Amino acid sequence: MTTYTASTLTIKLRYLLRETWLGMKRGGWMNWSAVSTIAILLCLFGLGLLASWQMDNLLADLGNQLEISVYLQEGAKPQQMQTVLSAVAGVADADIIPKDQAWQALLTEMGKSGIDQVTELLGANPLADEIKLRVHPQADIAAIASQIKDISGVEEVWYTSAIAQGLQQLRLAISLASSALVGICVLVAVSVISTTIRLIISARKTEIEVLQLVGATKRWITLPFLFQGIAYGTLGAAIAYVILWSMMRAVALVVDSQPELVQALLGKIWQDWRCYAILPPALISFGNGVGLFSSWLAVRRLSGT
Amino acid sequence: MVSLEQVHKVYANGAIALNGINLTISKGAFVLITGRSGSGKSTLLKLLYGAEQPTTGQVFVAGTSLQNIQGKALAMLRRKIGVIFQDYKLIPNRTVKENVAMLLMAQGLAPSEIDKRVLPALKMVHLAHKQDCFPDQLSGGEQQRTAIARAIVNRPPLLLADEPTGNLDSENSLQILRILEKLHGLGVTVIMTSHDNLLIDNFAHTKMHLNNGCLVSPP
Repeated sequence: MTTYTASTLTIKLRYLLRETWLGMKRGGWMNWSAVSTIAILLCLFGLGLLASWQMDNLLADLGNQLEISVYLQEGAKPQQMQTVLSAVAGVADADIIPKDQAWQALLTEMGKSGIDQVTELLGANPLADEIKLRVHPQADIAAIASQIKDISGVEEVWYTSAIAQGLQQLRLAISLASSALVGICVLVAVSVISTTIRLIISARKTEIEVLQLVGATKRWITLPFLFQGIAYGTLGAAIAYVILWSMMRAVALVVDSQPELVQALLGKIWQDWRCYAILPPALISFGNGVGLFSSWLAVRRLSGT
Repeated sequence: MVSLEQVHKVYANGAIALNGINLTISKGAFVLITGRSGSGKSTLLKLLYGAEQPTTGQVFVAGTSLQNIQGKALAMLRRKIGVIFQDYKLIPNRTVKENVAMLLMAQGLAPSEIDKRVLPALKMVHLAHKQDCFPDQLSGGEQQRTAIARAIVNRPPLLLADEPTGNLDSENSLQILRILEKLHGLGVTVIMTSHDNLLIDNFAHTKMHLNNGCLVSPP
């Protein structure tokens, strides 16, 4: 039975790393085509992640500002309804806007010349008492509105769902577009890396044949090529992170001088903890996965004989 | 050590390489298989180190059946077999020492242990002083001796030599033969193929002859 001591493993690992390095040296400029392809792929993947996180942040901010307007039925008591509505889960605050106050405000907005015409047209104050609700940031506004609609005394519920839905649709569109781009880039990267490794295998054909003939196992022969795929992934991830980080720094420098809409869209994504805690491991994992899969594709046909 | 039972080998293009070979070679023997080009000599050796499978029949090496052998089992069997080729199959960008030590490095042996095994193998073929040279700095005879050192460094009980002197002049050919005889003297079973008349004339052990894939009496 084979026993592996720490020193045996160290020796084996050192040998494998040396063989990986020799393989990469043999690859020459082809290594850079593989690394740059994977770096481009990871840049797109990283940008997709950043855009998705920024959309999350925007939606969360919007959640802070969203209000639900609840219009009461004729005869419903505003104070009583305020108590009932404040007790609904997710509601942070409830303010009464009496219909007289709303009517006065409306008439003022329309200008004095319009008052007679409007009053003549509508008779009395046509508005209903309103209660404005603010919801907790992470609350599901649509679910709260739906729940309130069923409460006795409520005539109508209205909230700015269009903005929230629009942002969610934008987020979905960004996710789909970046997934499609990343998907195409994955295919290109897999193709470039596996071709690079195939060419290196072809250049080392005699060496591989000799290793097979002297009794090296298939796993032993293929491991350096798999390590090479991982090395491509790691290098590509490092380059992609440097590019993304530089982009974020550049945006941070100019964002304050941009129009408000641009500022709102860009937010302060570089201050998001995920850029430092999740982005690097995500890039490395994804890059290594693509590199490993590509090199596996290249070596899987190496004969066991 | 080696046994073939009713072995036929027909290649995909229909060429018959071996036709009903029955052969037993005992441990410690030194056998020379002769025959003209295309007679099946290389195919016979390929069957012994598992690079080819017989179309029908059985091949046994060191008590192991080679039927459908592959993967780790084949790798382990090959560690008991040293193989030498006419074209040496040395790695050009590795030194003599690295070429010889390839399998030992692949087995994860410590550098001190590798030195302990590589040096005697190089001494055996009189190349200890050239261990840091690259193959293109060696003569043909020296390259073949490097290949022999690589084949014997793992101390295999069986050595297969496929036309080992095919690319060498008479002096180097006889030197290779002397080295193989020395290894045989140390207990290694040696099976060699050749169509080199000088080698055949100077060979004092068992000779076999292959003609159109059949074993016949030596001419």
